[in-house]
Amino acid sequence: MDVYWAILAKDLRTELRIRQTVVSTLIFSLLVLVVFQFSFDLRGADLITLAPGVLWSTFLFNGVLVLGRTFATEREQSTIEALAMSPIDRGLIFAAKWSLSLLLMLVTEAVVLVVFSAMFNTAVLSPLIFLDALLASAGFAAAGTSLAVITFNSRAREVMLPLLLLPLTVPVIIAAVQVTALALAGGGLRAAAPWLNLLGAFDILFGAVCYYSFGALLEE
Amino acid sequence: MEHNRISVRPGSPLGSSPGSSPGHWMVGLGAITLVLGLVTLAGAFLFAPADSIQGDVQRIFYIHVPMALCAYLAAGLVAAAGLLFLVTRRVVWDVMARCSAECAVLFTTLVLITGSLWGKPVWGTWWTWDARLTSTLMLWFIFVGYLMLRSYIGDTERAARYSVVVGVLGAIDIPLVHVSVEWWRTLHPQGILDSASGSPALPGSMLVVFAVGTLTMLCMFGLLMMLRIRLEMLRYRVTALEQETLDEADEAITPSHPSRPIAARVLGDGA
Repeated sequence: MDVYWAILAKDLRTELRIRQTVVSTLIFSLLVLVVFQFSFDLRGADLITLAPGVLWSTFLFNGVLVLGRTFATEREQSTIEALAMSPIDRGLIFAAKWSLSLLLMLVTEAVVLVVFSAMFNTAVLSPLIFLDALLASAGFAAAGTSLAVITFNSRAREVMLPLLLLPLTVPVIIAAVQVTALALAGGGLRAAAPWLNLLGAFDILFGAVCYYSFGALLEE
Repeated sequence: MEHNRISVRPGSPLGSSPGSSPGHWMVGLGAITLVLGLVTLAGAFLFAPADSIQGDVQRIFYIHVPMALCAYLAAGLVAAAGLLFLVTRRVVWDVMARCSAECAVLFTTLVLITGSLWGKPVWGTWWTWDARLTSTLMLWFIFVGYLMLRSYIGDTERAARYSVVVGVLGAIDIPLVHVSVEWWRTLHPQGILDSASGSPALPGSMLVVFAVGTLTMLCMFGLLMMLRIRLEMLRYRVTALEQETLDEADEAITPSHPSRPIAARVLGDGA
């Protein structure tokens, strides 16, 4: 467990010192919101129907960017080899990288939700939407952390990551949008339960497979 | 990157010389597939009765559904063969996973095309975001991504390991995609399509043709797999032989130096 905290703390410290991921992805996400505003002119009744899609498209773009950045420094400095050579549990490296991506995604998502609720005067700051964001981002980050390593050595890696990640996370995308739509329509936890269960199932399945298969990715 | 190439172990089953028994097997299977294919066509057009509601259009069902079954089978095989590769590290399993992914893309593409051909006259549209169509499209995307990744990483042992993970994630994702898409459609009824839920059991003659059609597609799948796997194994053998010849020529010119391979390895990794 010490290993997990050590890797996570190292990455967080780097992130806090140079703020290379969180600031750029946050600004990007806000820009995406502006683009959506110009595209759809979000007002009135349309807003409630479009808001879940707008929010989740923004979160997904942000997620792809964050996941692409998670291993960027490791690649630039070739420190991934050092991680791969150290005699530590591969699962813990996965867990640390997954936590980092999840954390960075959630920071941006929280800010976007606050900005969205202020700019469009919509009740998106509900506990159900927070839970939705947590569960969906966790699954997205789990699949994305493994795929980031996989596409790391591929040509056209910037394209390959979303190309593999988006079709695999279709269940997450559908469920996340549905829960947000239910929350905005005034539905409670009970109405959203099947979707939340689906998100939970995805998180557990993908988390477990990625945790146990991470060794096969780092073996050289 | 040369050191990273997978080499064929002597004695791997499909690395045997061309013209030996695998060749006969393939000719035999090809003949069976051809005969079965003709029987399916005759059965579908001459023997099976026309559907009372859909008419002749329904006859596409005898190849459409068997192809869909093969697509799912191929998708499962990608994951299964990939896992076997991780356990045994025998190159034949990796080759099988890759060829199976190619077949999965092929059959899924054909399923989508034949489905559209059927959908236009029956539903009045080439495409609708019905649950089954959507999940088939996602299956197609997943395996196209798989093949793109393989071609972008190259023929390395690393590519083999990476694609196991993608293949397994794809396989466990299929039921989740299916459930999510089904709920998504059920919670938002569109009334586009009255699904097969209320359809009666097929009459005997239709069932027979369908069974023959399924057998044909399975043979076709098997045949394609055998041909592709044999081709890949031969390709690996050629690469291995080339490498061997180069190494021999190298040694003939300069006496082998113990540090050279290590230096090559380090340089190879950095490239």
